[in-house]
Amino acid sequence: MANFLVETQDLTHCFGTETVVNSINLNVPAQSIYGFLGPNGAGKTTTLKLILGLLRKQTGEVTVLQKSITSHRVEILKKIGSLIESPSLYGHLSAYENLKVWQPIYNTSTPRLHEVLNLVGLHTGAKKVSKFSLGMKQRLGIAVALLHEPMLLVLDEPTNGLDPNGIIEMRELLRTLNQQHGITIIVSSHLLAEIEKLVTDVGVINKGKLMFQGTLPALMTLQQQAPVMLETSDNNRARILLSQEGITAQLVNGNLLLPALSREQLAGINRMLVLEAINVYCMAPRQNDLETVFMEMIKQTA
Amino acid sequence: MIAIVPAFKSEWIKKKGSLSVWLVFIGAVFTPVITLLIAIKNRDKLPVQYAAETFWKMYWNQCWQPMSFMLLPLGIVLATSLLAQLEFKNNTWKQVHASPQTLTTIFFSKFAVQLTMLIQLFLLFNLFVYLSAYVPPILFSEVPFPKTGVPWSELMQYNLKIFIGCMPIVALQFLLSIQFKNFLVPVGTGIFLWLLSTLVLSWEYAYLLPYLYPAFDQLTSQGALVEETPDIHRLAIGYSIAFLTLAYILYIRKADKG
Repeated sequence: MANFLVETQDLTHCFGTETVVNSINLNVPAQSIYGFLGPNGAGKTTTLKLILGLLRKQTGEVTVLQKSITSHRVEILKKIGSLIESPSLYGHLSAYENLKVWQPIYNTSTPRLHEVLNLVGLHTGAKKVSKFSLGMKQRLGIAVALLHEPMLLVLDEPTNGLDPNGIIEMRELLRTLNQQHGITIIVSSHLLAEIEKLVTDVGVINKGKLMFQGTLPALMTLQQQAPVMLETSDNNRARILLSQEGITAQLVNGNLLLPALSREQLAGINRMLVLEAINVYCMAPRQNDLETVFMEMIKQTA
Repeated sequence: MIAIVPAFKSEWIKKKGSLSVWLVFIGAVFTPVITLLIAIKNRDKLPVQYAAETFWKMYWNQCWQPMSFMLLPLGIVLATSLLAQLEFKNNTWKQVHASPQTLTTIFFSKFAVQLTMLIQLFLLFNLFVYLSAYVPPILFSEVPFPKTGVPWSELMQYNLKIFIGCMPIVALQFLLSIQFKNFLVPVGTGIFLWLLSTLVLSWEYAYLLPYLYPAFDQLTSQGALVEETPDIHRLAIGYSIAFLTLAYILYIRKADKG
């Protein structure tokens, strides 16, 4: 049986008559970096809020560390660090004072405050948080989340508003936390490209439904099954010839769309068409990077 | 119960440097300074006043009058709202609720900070009243030092009565401040209720409006009200419990704590 740190069973949540989370079964493996993907308004934040107990659960079950969040809320929250939507910080206090706010709650030592500030690379002295840039606020938000050395980090769109350099730094920090400190991370985003280099596992959500869940290699498999786009001087005759070879080709936007084929098969088709005096102008796998796979999934529920 | 100690510490740190802290200090120092300036302006009357047996009671009354009628209720409206609204203003409710604390601990630690700040205000106010009384005798040779000692026991009882009278205002403002994101709701409601209360001060059922309770104590102390009927302090305690219970129920039942 897989060791899941977070599990949800048939988690459903409605705001009025609108179902924003629809029967979600999330399985977050221990020590993974779980990318929770979906467009804006897909239900990511609502799901994460339900996991943290910030929203009153309506239907389904949330289990963290094999315990129900409903009956073991405080015990579970001791082991979770979170950053939901924009960072929650007190603008009239400095970075250090913001950490001091949480020190009594988590019963952490004073050196730990300096340790987490160093970890996120924040050395701002007495400067008030209200004067911080968004990137600095995000880093302080993560420092707060890390203060009590949590087993699980729940980050909702942590790269929102960050510049490319900030995104790279954030990615490095999360990787370090996962690999060196063994922290399981759930990170949500609406941009696959932003986190595909970081995550080990992926869940894709759209319109409240979980469209895909599995490892990143499993998602990659979908990418490799890419159809091939073929453009020739006589598409109709090429289609008949391909049909005689047992390959079904569809005419899409004036080009032929072939199913996923091996490199050798593609070379054979090219040779055959040229020998039949059909010019081959273009033969290429249709754009099918992870972003496209992601978009295709989203379109399925549109 | 033990969990409330770290929660209280955490809440206490949050208010550092916030406007509510300054309000407590300004609220405590304002009336004694104004009373002192008026006394200096009328310095020719001071030798007689300072020689009187009832000097302290008179001086304390002079300071408490504007405080109990206006500054205290309005100060509570503003300070309570500012303090409770820290979480809304900074968008930090979700972080508070994602921390390992029960909702009961969060609720009561926040309310305890409000009460502690009110106690702080009372202590500072009394200290400044006491100190300000000694300024004229130091500045002007013709003004004698008060002949009698401060009637601490009587004054503390008076403080306690006014403190109890303030409790329902704190509780109701706390209820509004943690319920409504818009800062104008608790402040606007508080100012409206205070205004309404002052307008109906002479109404036979005015004792039903808790925003007047500190003023009632002041009037009783001055002899303007002979006997409080019914006892406003019992009413104040009843109101406080009712408002606090309602605030707790509404807070606990809130579906979205993010």
